[in-house]
Amino acid sequence: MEPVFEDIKVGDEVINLIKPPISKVQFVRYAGASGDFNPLHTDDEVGRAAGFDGVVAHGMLIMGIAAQAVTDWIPKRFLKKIKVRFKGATCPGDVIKVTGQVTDKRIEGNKGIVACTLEAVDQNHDVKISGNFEAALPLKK
Amino acid sequence: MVEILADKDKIGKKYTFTWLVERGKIREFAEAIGDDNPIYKDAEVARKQGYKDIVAMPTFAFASVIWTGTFHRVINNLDIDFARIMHAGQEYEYYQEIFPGDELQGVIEVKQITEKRGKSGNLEFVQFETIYTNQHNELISKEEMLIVVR
Repeated sequence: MEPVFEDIKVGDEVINLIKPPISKVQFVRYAGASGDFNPLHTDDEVGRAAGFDGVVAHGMLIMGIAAQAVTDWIPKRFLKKIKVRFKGATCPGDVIKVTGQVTDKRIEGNKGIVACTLEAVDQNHDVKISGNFEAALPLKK
Repeated sequence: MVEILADKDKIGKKYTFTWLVERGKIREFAEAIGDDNPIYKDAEVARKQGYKDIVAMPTFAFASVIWTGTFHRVINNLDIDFARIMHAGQEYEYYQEIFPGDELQGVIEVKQITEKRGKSGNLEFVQFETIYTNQHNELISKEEMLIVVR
């Protein structure tokens, strides 16, 4: 069901996605898909040399997961803006949870604009990404 | 002496690239993220949901900057050491979907280089803006990327 602009309230928790534990295989797949072969994401030794316990996820993989959480709520074509800051590294085994809350709604022309926060954390509530997004929803006639 | 991490004379410099969007790449990208939304792989479902074909995920465009070698070209041109960069932020504004067969045209610009004094030495933040259009000259999206050099 598509969300209805008129039914959305500021403060609503609208984003809620919990992913399966993230894996090294997923880092390799994302490297292949995105073309980002920085060994920090695929070679444990390089990860350790950089001060981590081993490999860490591409930031853009976690942003992709955050975007997935958004388009689980609204149709993709309603998404108009998304902005994130990368706050912490994601390690194999981490369980990423994405949440978001409505902060503002307004009408622009024939669209209802909804602004929300967007945050991705792990099982220890360590923040990986914080940001926000805006969606443009059709109005009831 | 203050260590220089990025070449500030390059602020305002633009780099262009083109990239053909392949159907299989869209699907591979969604599967790597683990997003089962059928609009990324099933054209019939996508059409029923109001798209003319399958579409690319919200973060897909950046793959074109990397696959075309543009990201490496820009970082090398700024005299930045690859081993010292971290991705600090990313944002998009969307105007049009990306479909299979699209010829993406990108223009990436070095917008700003800002120094910051950190506890363990200098940091530099480098901000980029990329404008994507398609073969019909339609504006697809605007992307901002922030990296930190440390």
